[in-house]
Amino acid sequence: MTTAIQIGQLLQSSIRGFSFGCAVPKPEMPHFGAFVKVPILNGTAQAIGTIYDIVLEEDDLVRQIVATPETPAEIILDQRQRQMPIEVSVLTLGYMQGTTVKSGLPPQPPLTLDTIRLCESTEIAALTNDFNFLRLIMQASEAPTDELLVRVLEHAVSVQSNPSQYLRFAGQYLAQLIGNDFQRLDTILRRLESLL
Amino acid sequence: MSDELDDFLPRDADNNPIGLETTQEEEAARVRLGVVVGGSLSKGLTVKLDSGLNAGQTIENMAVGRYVVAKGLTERKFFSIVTDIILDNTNPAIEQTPPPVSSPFLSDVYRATVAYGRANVSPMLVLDPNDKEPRPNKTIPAHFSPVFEATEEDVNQVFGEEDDDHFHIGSPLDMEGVKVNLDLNRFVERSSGVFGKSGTGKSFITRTLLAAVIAKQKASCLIFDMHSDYGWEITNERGKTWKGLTQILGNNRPHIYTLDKKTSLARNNKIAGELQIQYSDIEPADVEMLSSMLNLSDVQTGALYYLHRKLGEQWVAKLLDENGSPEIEEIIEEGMLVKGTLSAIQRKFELFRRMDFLVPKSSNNVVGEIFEKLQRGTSIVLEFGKHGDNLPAYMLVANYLTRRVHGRYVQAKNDAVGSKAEQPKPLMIVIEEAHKFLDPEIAKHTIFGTIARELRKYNVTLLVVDQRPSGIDDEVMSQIGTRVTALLDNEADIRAVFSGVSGASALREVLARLDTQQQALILGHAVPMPVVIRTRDYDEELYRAVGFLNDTEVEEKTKAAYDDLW
Repeated sequence: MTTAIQIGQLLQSSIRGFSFGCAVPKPEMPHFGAFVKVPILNGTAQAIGTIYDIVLEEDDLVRQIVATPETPAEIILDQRQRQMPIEVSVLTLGYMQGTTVKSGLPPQPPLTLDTIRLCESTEIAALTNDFNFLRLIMQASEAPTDELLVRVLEHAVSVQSNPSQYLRFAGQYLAQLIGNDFQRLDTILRRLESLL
Repeated sequence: MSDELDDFLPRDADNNPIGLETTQEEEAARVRLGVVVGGSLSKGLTVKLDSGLNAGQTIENMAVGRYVVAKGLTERKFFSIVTDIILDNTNPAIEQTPPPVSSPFLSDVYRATVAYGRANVSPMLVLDPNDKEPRPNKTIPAHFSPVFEATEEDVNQVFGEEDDDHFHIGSPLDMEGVKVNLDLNRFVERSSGVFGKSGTGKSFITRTLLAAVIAKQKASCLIFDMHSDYGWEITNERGKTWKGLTQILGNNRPHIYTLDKKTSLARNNKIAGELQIQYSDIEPADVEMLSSMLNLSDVQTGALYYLHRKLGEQWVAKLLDENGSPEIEEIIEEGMLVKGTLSAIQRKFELFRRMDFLVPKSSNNVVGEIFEKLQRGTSIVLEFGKHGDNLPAYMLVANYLTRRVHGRYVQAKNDAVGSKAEQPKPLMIVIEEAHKFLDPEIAKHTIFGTIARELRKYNVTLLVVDQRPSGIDDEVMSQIGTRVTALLDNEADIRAVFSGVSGASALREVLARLDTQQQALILGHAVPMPVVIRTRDYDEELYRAVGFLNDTEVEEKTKAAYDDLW
């Protein structure tokens, strides 16, 4: 039985990614670039992805409150305690069967209302030991790829024993992917350098 | 965590990195340098050097002249030589905005990817697993064939084992302990050359080559030893001494003749005789070679033959006679020669008075003696002593002796063909300052040009030692079978060394970057492929390899022979 922190439930999914909802407030509210997992194949495997967008939908009540001059603090607190879903978008980067982690897209998407959990360090390390996940991020047209890439690597490097070497290899892999767009590559690499 | 980027790449079902499937046992032991990414048979291969943790080191550890092996897809190994190393990039924008020096991270990343090293390599031979001998290269490895540093085994396969026909002449660069062996039979089969600018060790290389040829009895050598570099002990400016050929070659030791007995004896040389040349033995053709040095005009050169015909064999003595000669007066009176021409010739012949080996009369027949010894397989070193710096003297004697010895060889060879008599023993004539003998102006008319052009027709070849190969006639250069070249930095000289050698132009960079000492490029007939070597040390080990025994060993050997006898 998994002890990983549960952070939401699936709203919609595809092979390439999925979105889930969670409520506010939640101390474990997911972060941009965090690694999450969701069961697939009837629970025999887990799809792993990274959060690339978090959206709080507006509603009429919020519009009315915003229109109120000098909103009282207790009204803001009430608003935060409402069961108002936050929609979180995830880009699938790999999947895990047993103890084997494979990068790439899973054979099937997860099903709605399945539980989303944060990945554990060992799972992040297993997925990110293969830089193929960087390629999937760079190809994701729906995501802010350059920012996401830096944030994902920040998470990935935090579970590595030799962060500087890991980042250097990641940089080299990126250079192979987007070496023809030197300006973009240079910008990303300078961001990565700041992680050291 | 792994140390290599490769370990982070996608893997196949067998857990091998995709695109880098070169992990067979044999290859695992090799140092991989890169992959073939382009090129042609005529221009050589382009190798993209591997990136990885030590991308910069891979580039800096490369060196022109080093051997590499490209492993083709058909199990053939293409034995190649590195001819150039290039810094390249996949995106020229990096040249405009290089990473800041303060950012080793960016430098490390770019150095292994966007900026990379490239090497031009020239494939020379193919090592086919089904063939014992390497074959000349007629194709190239396929795209993305991995390239490795050549191993000792590869080099040995190419250059063969050391035996009676192959002599260890040096080692490939950075492969100490690996022997590059020169095929001595092929070396003496055609004329050869040792080139290099002054101070690059030409004499040591030549001495090593001669020691090998003489020790293995591949040819008799007639060595015109301008500066007493070959026969007896040599001392450098710091007082270090090396033994000469006569001291190290045991039973095959060459005999030393001298033009300057006094100097030779002062050096404690064991000389076999003194060469003196009678005036009457000098022929116009002996002097003609000196025409540019004596500043003889065409008319004056032509007059030499007339004077010889008119004055007889004492023509030189009569021209040098300060009291005059009736025959000379007669020539002027007859108007066959203008007095001014004759006076000019006489004035220029004054040079002969300073050559004290030229004598009015001599009782010895050294030419015959030398020919007999050469025929018996004994090599000859002719020392010039104080005349070593006198180029006209050197040229006169070399020309004089070579013409006569060559004449006798031609006769002996013709006799052998007619009567099935014994073939004359192969002869290698060694001349220094060769461009003076083989200048395009005179090479066609001199005995040395003739010998170089006629190959081994009469069993006589040349070993030319020179620092200005560009001064040698092109036709003669094209006949030089094996070229051993130390550092040359003059463009014309480099071009000359490669004249008539197909596909060797890629090696020009290699030649221009040799060290100033103990490095040489050997190409041509006696090696299967061009090879850059650190030449073998001229030391005790080499002495022993060519038959040197110290006094105790000589004594023991003599005693053993005596005991065997009784």
